[in-house]
Amino acid sequence: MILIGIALGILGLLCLMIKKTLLGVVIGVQLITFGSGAVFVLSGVLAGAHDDGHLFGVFILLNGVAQIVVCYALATRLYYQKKTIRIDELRSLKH
Amino acid sequence: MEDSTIFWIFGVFALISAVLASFSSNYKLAGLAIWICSFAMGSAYITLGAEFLGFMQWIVGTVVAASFLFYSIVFGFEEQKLKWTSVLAAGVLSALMVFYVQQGIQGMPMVHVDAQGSEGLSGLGEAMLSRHFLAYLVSSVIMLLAIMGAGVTSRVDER
Repeated sequence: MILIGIALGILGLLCLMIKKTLLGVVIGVQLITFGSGAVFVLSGVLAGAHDDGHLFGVFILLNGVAQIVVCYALATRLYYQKKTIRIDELRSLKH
Repeated sequence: MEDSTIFWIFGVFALISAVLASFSSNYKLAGLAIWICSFAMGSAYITLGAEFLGFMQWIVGTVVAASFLFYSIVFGFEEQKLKWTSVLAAGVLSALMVFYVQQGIQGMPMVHVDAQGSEGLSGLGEAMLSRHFLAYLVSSVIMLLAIMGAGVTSRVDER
């Protein structure tokens, strides 16, 4: 069961390596978040500590949302400056 | 049907949609795949007795998919062709990770899943405000900093 969470995390890492835009990074971060949350929840269930696993799943989910907010902000900034959201163009946030 | 069987069904759905989201060059399809993956994981959590987390997963996944579609429309559907060298390198790295993770989890106990072990929402709240209060505070500070940082980063320069 725990392999599903691990597979989701690895797919997220793959996505981070392959995609070249900030929206691709959003997809990768989400998949890693889903995978790590699933690993924590399943570990808690298998070890008998249900509530602890669920709680850390909630924390991971909320922190994933925070990462996405920052990603969107960076994408907005980059698009304002360069009219593109490719990561290769992300050298500086100043003009 | 047993809970573990339902979990596996939703798990396979999540994996298929995650593969679709990772390798699709169409952002609309990727957003839909992220939403399906989130829905499947939330349903899997509910079969494990984590109803609160399952509902949160559904809500967060829906918001993320909607915002993803919105931003992909705003920024335009800028696509890129996948390089086969990148896919090959990522595949080799993933195979290595799967090997090492499998070595690492061999000693873990694989007992029968008992979905009725949770104390419910009151138990979660009690654990959050007692044993894991520091994690709760750190998580709150991270979210506050993320909101402030996003506002500062995306502001328009007047100069």
